[in-house]
Amino acid sequence: MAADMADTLSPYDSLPEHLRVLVTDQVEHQGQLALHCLSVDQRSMLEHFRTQQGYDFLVDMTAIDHLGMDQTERFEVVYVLRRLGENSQQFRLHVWLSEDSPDLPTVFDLWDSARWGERETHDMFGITFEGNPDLRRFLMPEDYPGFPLLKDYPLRGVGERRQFPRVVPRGDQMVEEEPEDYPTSIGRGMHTPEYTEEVRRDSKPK
Amino acid sequence: MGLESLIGGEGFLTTTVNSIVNWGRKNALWPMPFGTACCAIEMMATFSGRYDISRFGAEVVRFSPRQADLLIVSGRISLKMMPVLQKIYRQMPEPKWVISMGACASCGGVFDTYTLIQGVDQFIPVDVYVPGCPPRPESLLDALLEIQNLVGEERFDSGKHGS
Amino acid sequence: MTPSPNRGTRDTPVPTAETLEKELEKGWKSHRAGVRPSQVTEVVEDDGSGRLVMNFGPQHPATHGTLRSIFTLEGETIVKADVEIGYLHTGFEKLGENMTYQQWVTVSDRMNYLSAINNNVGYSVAVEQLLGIEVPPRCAALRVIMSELSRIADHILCVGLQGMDLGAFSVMLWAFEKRELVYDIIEAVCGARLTTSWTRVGGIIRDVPEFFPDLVYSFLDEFPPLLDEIHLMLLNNRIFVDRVKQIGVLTEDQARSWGITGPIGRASGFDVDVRRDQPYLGYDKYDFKVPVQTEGDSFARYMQRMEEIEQSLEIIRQAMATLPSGPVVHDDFKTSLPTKDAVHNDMESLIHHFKLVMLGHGIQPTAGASIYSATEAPCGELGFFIASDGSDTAYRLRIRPPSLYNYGFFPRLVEGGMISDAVAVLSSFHIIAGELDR
Repeated sequence: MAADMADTLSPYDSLPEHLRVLVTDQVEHQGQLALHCLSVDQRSMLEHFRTQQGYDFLVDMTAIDHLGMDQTERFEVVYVLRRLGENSQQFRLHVWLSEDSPDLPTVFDLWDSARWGERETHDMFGITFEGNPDLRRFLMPEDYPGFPLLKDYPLRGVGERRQFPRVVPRGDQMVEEEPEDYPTSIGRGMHTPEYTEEVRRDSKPK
Repeated sequence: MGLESLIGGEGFLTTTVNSIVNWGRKNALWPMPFGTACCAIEMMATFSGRYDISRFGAEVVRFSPRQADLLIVSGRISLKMMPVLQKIYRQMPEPKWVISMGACASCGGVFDTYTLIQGVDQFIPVDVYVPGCPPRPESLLDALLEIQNLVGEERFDSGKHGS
Repeated sequence: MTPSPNRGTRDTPVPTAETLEKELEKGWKSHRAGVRPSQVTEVVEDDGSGRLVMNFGPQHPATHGTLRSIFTLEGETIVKADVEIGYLHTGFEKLGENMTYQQWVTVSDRMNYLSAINNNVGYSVAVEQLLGIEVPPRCAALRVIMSELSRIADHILCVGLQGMDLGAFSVMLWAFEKRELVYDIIEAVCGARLTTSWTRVGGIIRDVPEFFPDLVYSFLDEFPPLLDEIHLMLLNNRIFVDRVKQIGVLTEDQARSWGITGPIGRASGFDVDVRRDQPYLGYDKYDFKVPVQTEGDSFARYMQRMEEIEQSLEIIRQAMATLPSGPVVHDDFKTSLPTKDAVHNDMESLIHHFKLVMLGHGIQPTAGASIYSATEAPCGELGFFIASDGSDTAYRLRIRPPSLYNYGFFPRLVEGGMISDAVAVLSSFHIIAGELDR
C-alpha cells in the first residue's frame, strides 16, 4: 500500500510522479508545509491524499481574496489536511482559483466536514463548489446580495445595517417609523467619515 | 416591626390607585431575557446564586414575551437577529420596558462591522442602557432599580406611552 | 448541482462594492419587521400527510443563545431537521483584516465568551508561531493554568445547563456558584470577569498578583467536592439518566469525517487532543490523560466533560507546583509589548510601546507567510489560519471554530428521534453561538 511508503516522507515527496508535476509551488514557514496547485488539479490531488495516503481529517477549509495583489489568481482556496495515528502528518493545500470562473469541484464526498466548510466559503467569498447540494446562504441573510469577506467589500458594509424600520408603541398600536438620524456617533458606528472629520477638526491646534 | 404592627389586624391604609398599581408592578417585574452573547452569561450569573436578582423581585424569568414586561437585550444584535428582536418586542403586552445591556446592544461596541446593529435603540425604544463589556451583575441590578424608578413614575390611566 | 441563488452571471462573477450598493437600494425587504425572518427551508404545504414543520429558536431557552432549528415532525418524531446559523454573525474575520495583531486579542474574547482565555491563548500562540517566537516559561505555565481554569468553568457550565434542560435546575445553580470561584481568579489576574483580553502577542499583560497561588490552591480545595455532588445529583436521577443514555449516538467514523473534535468527538472514541498530539506551551511537560469514551451518546458526553475536569485539575496542580519565576513577556520588544509598569517607569519601554501601537511600526510578519495553528479549546480544536502580507494587519485571518464543525452533524443526529431528544442532544453538544457564527 502506498501509505507504507509515504510514512516518513513529506507530503510532496510522497506524491507519485504524475501528481508531483502538478504542484506549482511548495512553501514552508515555521515547519509548516503548504503545497500550491491549480484549480483543475484540486480534485485529483485531494482524492489522492484522502484515498491513497489516509488523510482522513479535513481540519478546515477557507479562502483568501488577493484582489489587486500581484498573485497567480485572485482566489486561493486553502485546505488543511491531517492524518492521524502513528504517522501523523499535517499540511495545507492551496488551490489557485481564477476570478473569471470561481468554481471548484466539491469534496464533500471525501470528507463530510467539507459540507459546511464549502458552504461558508461560498457565503463569504461567492466561490461555487460544483456538486455541493447545499450552498444556501450560511451566516448572512438568505436574500443578501453581497459577499462580505471580499477585499472590496467595506468593513462597515454599504448601509445594510440601517435598513430596518423603527418599531414604536403608540397607544395600543405598534407602528413602524423610519429610524431617526442620531446627532452623535452612537448608532452610526465608531468611525463614520463625519466622526473622523469631527475628531480631526477638534484635535487641530487652535 | 413593620407596617403590620402599626396598623394592627383591622387597620386600613389610604392610597391612590396609581401608587398601589405601580408598587405592585415595580416589585414584580417579569423579565424576558433576550440573551445572545457574552452579556447573556453575565445575565445568567445575575439570576443565579451569588448575585440573586430575586432580592429585587425580578427572578421570574419568562421565556415567552407574552408573559413578560421587561425585555433585557443582552448581547450583540446582528442583521439576522434584528427582525426577531422586533417581533419579540411587538409580542410583549403593554406596559413594557427595555434594558439595553452592554456596549454591543447599546452602540455596537467594538464591532463596527457590516453585520452588527449599531445600537438597538435605533429600531426599538430603550429605557435604560447598561454600559460595560460585559457589564458586571451589579450594573444590571442597578439598571433594574432604575427601571423600578421609571415604573414608579407611571400614570396608571394614560399608560406608558400615552394614548 | 444546485446553482447558487446569489451568484451573478459568468460575466460578473462577484459583485463589487458599487453593484452591491445598487442591489441594496433596489430593495432587500425580507428583513423588514413584520416579514418573517429568513426561512431556509421551503414551507411545506399541507399535503395531507399530517406532517408539521416546527420552528425551534433562534430565541428559545433550550438553544442557549441564538441557534435555530427547523424540524419536520410526524407526531413527535423528527423526520427531517435543518439548522440555520448566523444569528450572531459579527464579522470577526473581517475585523482581523482591519485591526493590528495586538488589537485583535480584544476581539478574540468575544468568540467563546464562556472561556475567553482559551481564545486569547489560542490566538496569541498562533501569532507567535507565525513570528517564530517563544514565550518565557513562566508565561507559558501561567497560560496553561488559566486555560485549564477556563476549561473547567466552561465544562461545568455545560454540565449545569445540561442538567437544567433536563429538569435538574439545582445543578445549574450549584455550577454557577462554583464557577464564580474561577471568575474570582480571573478577575484578580486581569480585572475582568468574562472578556479578559489577558494575553498579548509575546506574553501576558502583567504578572499575576502575589495572592494568586492562594486563590488557586483554595479553588483546588473547594472545587472538587462539586464534582461528586453533581454526580450524586445526576447519576441517581432516573429522569436525567433515561433521557441521555442511548440518545444521540455519534459513531467514531462520523466524528472523524465531520471533523467533530473536543469532548464530543472524544466521547465517541475519536481520540484527538491538540494538547497531547501537537503540544504547545509546554503541555508535554505535564502528566495527564486524555479520557475517551466509547458509547458516543449524550451520557458519554456528560461523563467525558466530568472526567476532563478532573484532568484539568491535575494539570493545574502540576503547573502550580512547578511554576517557574522570571519574566512573563518575550524579551524582543520589536514584537511584544513591554509590561505596563515598565512603560510607566522606563523611557526605553515607553518608546517600544509607542512604536508598537503606532500603525506602520507594529508586528510585521514576513510577507507571504501563512500559518495554521491549533490549540485545544473547551469545545474542541480552535484553529487560526493567518496569512500575512507584511503589514501591521493580517491579510487574512481565518478562525476554525470547534463549534462550527461540531454543529454540522447535529441535524442528522436528531433525525429519527423525538423533539425532547433534540433538546437533550443539543445541551450535550454545548454549541457556543458566538464562536459558531463569529
